[in-house]
Amino acid sequence: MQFDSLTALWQMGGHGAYVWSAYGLCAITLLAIILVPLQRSRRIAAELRKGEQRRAARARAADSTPSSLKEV
Amino acid sequence: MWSWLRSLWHKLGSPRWFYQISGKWLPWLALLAAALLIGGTVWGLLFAPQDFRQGNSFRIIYIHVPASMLAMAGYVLMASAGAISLIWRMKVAEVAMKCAAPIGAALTFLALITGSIWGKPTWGTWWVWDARITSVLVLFFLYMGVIALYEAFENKQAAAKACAVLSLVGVVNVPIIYWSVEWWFSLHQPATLKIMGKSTMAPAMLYPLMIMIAGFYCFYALALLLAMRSEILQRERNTQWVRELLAPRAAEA
Repeated sequence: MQFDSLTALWQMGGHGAYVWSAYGLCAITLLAIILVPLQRSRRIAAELRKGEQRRAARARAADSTPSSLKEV
Repeated sequence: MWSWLRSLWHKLGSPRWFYQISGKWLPWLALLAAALLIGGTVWGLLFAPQDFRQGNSFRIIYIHVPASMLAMAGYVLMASAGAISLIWRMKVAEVAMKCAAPIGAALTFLALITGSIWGKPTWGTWWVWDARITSVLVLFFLYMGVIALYEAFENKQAAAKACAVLSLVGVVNVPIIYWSVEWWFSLHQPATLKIMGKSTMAPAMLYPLMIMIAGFYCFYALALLLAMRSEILQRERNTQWVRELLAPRAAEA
């Protein structure tokens, strides 16, 4: 290991602010690139499921309507 | 060999096939990307020797160079996908082009900002209008242009055509970026990594860089597949196969 202690690792010979801000930004960016599409897929699935539930509920309501009131 | 390629080409005509096969690759790709990125980062940050002139700030190379390479490669991919979608009207290619734009823009931004942070202790400035840095900024604007152009059209078929044309027009910028350090007097470092011939970087510094480059390529593939799958689900959300996949009907009463 190139560094004698955690403090030395943090300070990076005076360049700590530069190195760690760069790596920090990188981590945030890469995570965001992965999480955004995952989140979007989850939202699409949720919307589809809600639509399916609504359709099923309407079908059930239609089934329970007395035949005299059903549309021809 | 050719019949296999031809059958692959035909299969790629189906977004559903693409969705199914990409699902099989995803876990392996994620594992590989994570292993390479974590391994490369640990090696580069903790074990690679510091640079004689730049000290420890040189460690930014392990994210700056891979991000830059993927920014350029990603643009070529976007333009190629655009060309294929224009010529062969292939849906999957259109999806690839659309999804490559924001990923490429983010990576270009990362390359610019890590380069800027690295420039401060090295050159004494956050920014300089030299050939390579300026042309990478142009690359960023091109990516943003493609994203904005796509959103500007209501008819998404017309949007895709326009974006394909813009991507192709802009692709000339990529060789400009690559050769700018040779053609013009540039503050930016000339190429030390060579595809042919010997690279001028010490092995102890070079090997973690190669691992990070490989890791970023795997990461890009992972990110693009995730984005394409999401886009395909959105476009095909009214089809039978997507409905069965995401909202399987409860057993009939």
